[in-house]
Amino acid sequence: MTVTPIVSVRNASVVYGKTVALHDATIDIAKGDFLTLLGPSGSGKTTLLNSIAGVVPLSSGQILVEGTDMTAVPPNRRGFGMVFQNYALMPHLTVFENIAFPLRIRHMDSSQIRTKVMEALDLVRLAGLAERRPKQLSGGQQQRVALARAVVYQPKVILMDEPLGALDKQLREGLQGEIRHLHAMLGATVVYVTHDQEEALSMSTRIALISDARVCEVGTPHDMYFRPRSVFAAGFVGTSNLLKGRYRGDADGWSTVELAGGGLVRGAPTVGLNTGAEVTLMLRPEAIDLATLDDATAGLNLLEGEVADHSLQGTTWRTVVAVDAQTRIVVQRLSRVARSFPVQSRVRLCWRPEDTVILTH
Amino acid sequence: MVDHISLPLKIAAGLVFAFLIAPSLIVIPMSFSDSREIMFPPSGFSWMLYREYFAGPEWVAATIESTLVATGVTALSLATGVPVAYALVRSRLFGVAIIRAFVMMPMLVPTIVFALGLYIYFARLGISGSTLALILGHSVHNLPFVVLVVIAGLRQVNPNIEVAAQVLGASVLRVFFSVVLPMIAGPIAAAGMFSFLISFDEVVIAWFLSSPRTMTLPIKMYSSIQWEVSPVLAAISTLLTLLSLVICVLGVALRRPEA
Repeated sequence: MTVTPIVSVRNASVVYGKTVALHDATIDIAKGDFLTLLGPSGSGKTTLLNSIAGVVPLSSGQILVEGTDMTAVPPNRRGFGMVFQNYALMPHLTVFENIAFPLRIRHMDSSQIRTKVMEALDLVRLAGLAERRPKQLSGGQQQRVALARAVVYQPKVILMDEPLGALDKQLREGLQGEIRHLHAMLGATVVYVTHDQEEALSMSTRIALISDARVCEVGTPHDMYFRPRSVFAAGFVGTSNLLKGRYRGDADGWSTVELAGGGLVRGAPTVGLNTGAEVTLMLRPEAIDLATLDDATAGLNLLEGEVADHSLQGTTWRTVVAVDAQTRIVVQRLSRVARSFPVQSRVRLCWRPEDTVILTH
Repeated sequence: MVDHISLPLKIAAGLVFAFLIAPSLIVIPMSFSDSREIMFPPSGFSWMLYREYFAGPEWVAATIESTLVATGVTALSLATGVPVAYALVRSRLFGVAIIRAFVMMPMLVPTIVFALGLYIYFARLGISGSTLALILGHSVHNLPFVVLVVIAGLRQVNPNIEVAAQVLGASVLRVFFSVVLPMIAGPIAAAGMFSFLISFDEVVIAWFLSSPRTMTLPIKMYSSIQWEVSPVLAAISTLLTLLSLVICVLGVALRRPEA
C-alpha cells in the first residue's frame, strides 16, 4: 500500500493537567473511508475527533493530512467539514445563509453560491425550506441542514460528532440511511463518532474502538463482530456470551479449551497460546442452536443445561440456558423456524467450533 | 413562579415596594403643577414646568452634555466590554478568574473612593473637567455592568456554533464579527442601553469630574436645588423616570440572545 492516507493520526496524546483524554492514538484514514470512532461516553472518542478537526490541540504526536503535517494548523485552514449532535446552526441566519456560509468565506460569487446551496438542499431533500430560520425546523430537518452545510464545499473529510444522538429512534434510522447515501454518492471521507454499536456496525467501512483514552482495536464491522480480538470488543460490539476457561492444546485442527465449569469445547485455531493459559470464549447468541438430549449433534460443541427463561422477541426466540450455578448462556434463534422450549426443560446447546472465538485479553 | 407565595407575604411585599417607589412617583403629579412652589398635592394642572425646562438654555446645555457623555460612554464601554466578556466566557486560560475579578473591581470599590481616584488621576493627566474625563470615568464605572449582561447572554449561546464556523473555514476574527456578534446583538443592545442610562443618571463621579463647562443634567439639578428649590426639577425627574422605564423594559426584552 503506497497510497497516502487522507488523514494520519500519529501517536497523538491530549493531556489536561493530570487527566489523560487521549493516549498515544495512531490511526490512518483512507480516502472514501467511513471510519467510526466507537466507545463508551468519556472514552476519548470526541477528543480524537476534535484533535483531527484542530479544535483540541495535541499535547504530543502529529496529525498529517495527505502527508503534510497539520498539527499546528488552525481548524479553519484544514479544509474539513463538521456536524455536531446539537446541530450548531447559526440562529440569526436562514437555512440558505447557513449553508452558504462556508462558500462566502471562500469568496465564491453569488450565482455560484446559489447553485451550490440549492444542490446541497436538494441532496438533503429540504429544497422548499431555504428561507426558514433554523428554529422553525424540526430536529431532523436541522441536522439535514447541518449535513448540507458540511458537504456543500466538498471538504476533504467530514467529521461528525454523534450527529444522531439528539433524535428519536425512527428519525435516527432514517438519517442513518441518508448519511450512508451521502457518503456513497459523494465519495466523501467521513469520521463519525458514536457510542451506539449498532449504528457503528451498520454505517461504517471501518470501526475504531476507543476505550479509556486509547484506540484499542480497528477493523471492519464484520471482523469487529465475528472476529473481535479483545474481550472488551466482544462485549461492547453486539451481544455476546463470554465463558472462562483454560487452553488445553490443539487437536484435529481446532484449539481446545476446558471450561471453568467443566466440559471441553473446540474453538477457531488460535496461535501463540501456552497450554494452561487462561482464555475467554466468545459465542454470539445467534450462533448457538438448541437440541433435545437425543438429537444428532455430530461435529458440534455441546453443553448441557436447563432453560431458565424463554421469550419471543418477534424475529427471534430468546432463550437463557443455565449451564451451572454461575453460567448463563443467551441463545437467539429465528422464531419462524426454531422449536420452542419450555422453561426448566433440559436442553443441549450446540454450536460449530469455528463460531467459537478464543480471546486472551 | 409567584403562585406559591402566600397572600399575606404578597401584601407585605407590595407595601414595601410602594414605600420604596412612592418618592419616585410623587414627583409625577407635582410636575404638572401650575404653581411656582413645590407642593403636594398640586393645586392645578399645567405644562408650565415642562415649558420652563425645554426653554431654559442652562437646562438644555446640561441635557446635551449628559447625552454627549452617555453616548460616548455607551460606545466605549461596549467596545471594551464585549470583547472582555467574550474572552472571559470562552477562554480556558489560567488566570481568567483573576482578570474577571479585576474587571469587576469598579463595582466593588465605593463610588466616592473611585471618583476621588479618578479626579486625582485625571488632574495629573491634565484632562479634569473635560467631557473626555467624564466619558473615561463613566466607561470604567460601567464596564462591569456591560460585561455581566454580555456574559449572561453569551452563556446561552452554544459554543459549538463557533467551533462549527471555524471548522467551516472562518478565522477567529471572522467568527467573532460575523457569528458571535450577531447572535448576541440583543444582549449587546441591552448592555448599551443600561450603560447609557447609568451614565446619564450618575452623580458622584460626575460631581468630581465635571466643571461649569461640562455640567451634566444630574449635577445641574443637584446644584440648582442648593440655591433655589425650583419646581422644574419635578418635570425633569418625571422625564428621567420615563427614560429609565423605557430603557429597562427594552433592556429586559433584549437581554436574551437569539436561539
